Amino acid sequence: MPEKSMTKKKYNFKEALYLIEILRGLGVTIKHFFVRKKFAINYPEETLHIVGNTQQTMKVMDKDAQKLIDRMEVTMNYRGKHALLVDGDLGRCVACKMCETVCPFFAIYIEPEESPDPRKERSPRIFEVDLTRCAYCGYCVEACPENAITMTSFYSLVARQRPELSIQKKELRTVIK
Amino acid sequence: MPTFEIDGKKITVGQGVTVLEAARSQGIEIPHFCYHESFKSGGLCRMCLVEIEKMPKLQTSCTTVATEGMVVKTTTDRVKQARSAILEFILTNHPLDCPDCDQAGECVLQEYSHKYGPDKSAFREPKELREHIQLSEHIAYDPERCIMCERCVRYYRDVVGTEELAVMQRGAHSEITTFPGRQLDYGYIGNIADICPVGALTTKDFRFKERVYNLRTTETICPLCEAGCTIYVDAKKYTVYRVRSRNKNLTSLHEHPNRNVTALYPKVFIDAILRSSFICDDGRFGYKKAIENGAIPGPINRYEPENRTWNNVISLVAQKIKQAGSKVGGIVSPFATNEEAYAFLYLLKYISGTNTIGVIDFPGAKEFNGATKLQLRKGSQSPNLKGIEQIAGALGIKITPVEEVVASKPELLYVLGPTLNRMDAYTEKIGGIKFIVLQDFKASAFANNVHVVMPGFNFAQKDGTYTNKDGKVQRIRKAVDAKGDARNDLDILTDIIYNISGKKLGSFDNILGLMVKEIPFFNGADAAILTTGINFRKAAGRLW
Repeated sequence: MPEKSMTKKKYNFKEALYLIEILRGLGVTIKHFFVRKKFAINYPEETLHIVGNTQQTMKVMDKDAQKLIDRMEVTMNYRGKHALLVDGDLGRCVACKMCETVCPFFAIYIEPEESPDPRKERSPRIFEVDLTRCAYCGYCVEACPENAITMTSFYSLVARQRPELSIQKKELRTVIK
Repeated sequence: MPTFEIDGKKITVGQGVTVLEAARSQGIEIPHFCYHESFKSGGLCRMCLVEIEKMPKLQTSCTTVATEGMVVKTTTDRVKQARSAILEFILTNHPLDCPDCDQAGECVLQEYSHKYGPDKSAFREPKELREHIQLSEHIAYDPERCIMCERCVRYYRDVVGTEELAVMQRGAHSEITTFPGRQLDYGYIGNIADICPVGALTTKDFRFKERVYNLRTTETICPLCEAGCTIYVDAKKYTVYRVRSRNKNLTSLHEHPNRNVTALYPKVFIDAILRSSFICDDGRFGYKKAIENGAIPGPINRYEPENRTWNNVISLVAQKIKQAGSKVGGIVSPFATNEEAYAFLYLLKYISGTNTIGVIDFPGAKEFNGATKLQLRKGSQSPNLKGIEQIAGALGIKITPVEEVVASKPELLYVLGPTLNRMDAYTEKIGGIKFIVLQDFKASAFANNVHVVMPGFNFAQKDGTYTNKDGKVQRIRKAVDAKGDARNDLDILTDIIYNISGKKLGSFDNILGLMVKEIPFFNGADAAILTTGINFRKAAGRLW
């Protein structure tokens, strides 16, 4: 078996002095005295920009990610309020209950029905996501065989009463602008 | 009695037993779609191919009769390759839309495809997609999912005998339809959804209702006639979603708890096999009749409206029974279990001293249309009539019609339900009776006119035993939880008995033990071994 050996990098004079590196580090610190970038957002007076649904968010990100961060948008992989995607008039969901089955918090409730559209066999009569139970783990998105459920970047989930946080099919199908 | 070798194991089987049946008896799984124990093998699906020495080609084990000196191999590479190829062929037009399909979770094709199937298909052509057809009012047929095993066709030919179904067209276009001018009659139609190995045939009752893997299966007894067929009740939380037939003697491919422990079944038991494999549509679709429908939320006390707790109601009833003495009139529903009937009759006989009891009369089962070979229903729609008769006979209580009990104007009338609206006819005749007690799970016109209503359980909510017309004692089991403030009928009865006399009858198995000791009919019954029901009278200790 060949022996493993490591050779230590030899520093030249400039590197061994460490002085330049120290000054460079200090420079970063000093720069922040003059150049100010805002990181904290004073919610709710200030809010992050919310982009449509996740797919739209991704498109924007692909174009110019840096610009988006400057505009203080919600990040691409943020998991917020759910949405059911729609192809034309027809919802993609076939009420297969995969998301309901995989959900660790029993937050999803589905009741299937015979689909009125001939192209699909079944569709959800009731599709309910209980946001008070949901932990936004995103398993439902992973499980969906039809890519029907996604999670948007909508983060401001406030309600006066608990039932308002149990969102129904109609609300899930409207894309947040 | 040929002796032959299968996978290196020497076994002796009966004359005329096929290789597939022999393999099943040894716990060797040979995958199959079209074979079903209740009718003749067709050799259609080719899934059960095995290698037999000295035979040049692979043989379908479901049609090959085991003979002396045969050497069968079920796990060779040749067999595995054949299975994989057959599955690839079956899947050419199968949409593989398991998330959409109701059968997913109990689908034989899904299981085999996972176990033996190829991971990709050589067919690049788009799959032919077709819309579902309504075969009858109760059955929907998805031709795209059908694998042409013809189980349903052979069921109608060999078991029902009316031959309505046939395969029309050829090749990829073939589909199951009824002959022109014929239709599938209500009667034994629901069974074809049970025997369909894939999701092609589904009952309208269960279609899209719930995923099968979310349901909990309970082995119980059908309460809708005196035959007492064994059934599975599939339920979730408070709701019963469907009723299926339960195979008593035989393994049902993937769901039987002890699937490898089965005996070879001689052909003489064919009647028993049919009875165990299939149920009638009244049982399959009519179970809702015997389950919740306008349930009573809690005890009702119209005598002392302020006292509505269980303790108050029970002590009131106990006090009234004590006062009435032997002038207690008892009416029992044949839906009551043996144990409830025993506790009730015990209350009447030993505590009140009453010697007669009325049994609610249920109508006989209506005849189905068409002449079918399969006749499963027996007697009236009263599952435990025989049991009540036996217990009453043993305790020396005379059974009279309900009219006589009501007409005799007892001081107190105690009705043990479920009455299922059969007491509504007596609503006006009970006028002169001072105190009427009803135990029922369902609201009815009669329940609105009695003094005390104690909400009980329906057959899917309680444990107990039923005795069928042949005298077979069979176990019913709790499948769903009861909503609201209902209580087990047996607990109510034993509480009343305890309140009056201080005697503790105990739970259901204690009472069954008492009955075994006191009533010769129940000799040999044991709650622990009552897993599937035992015919005590003919062969004690023999499992069915």
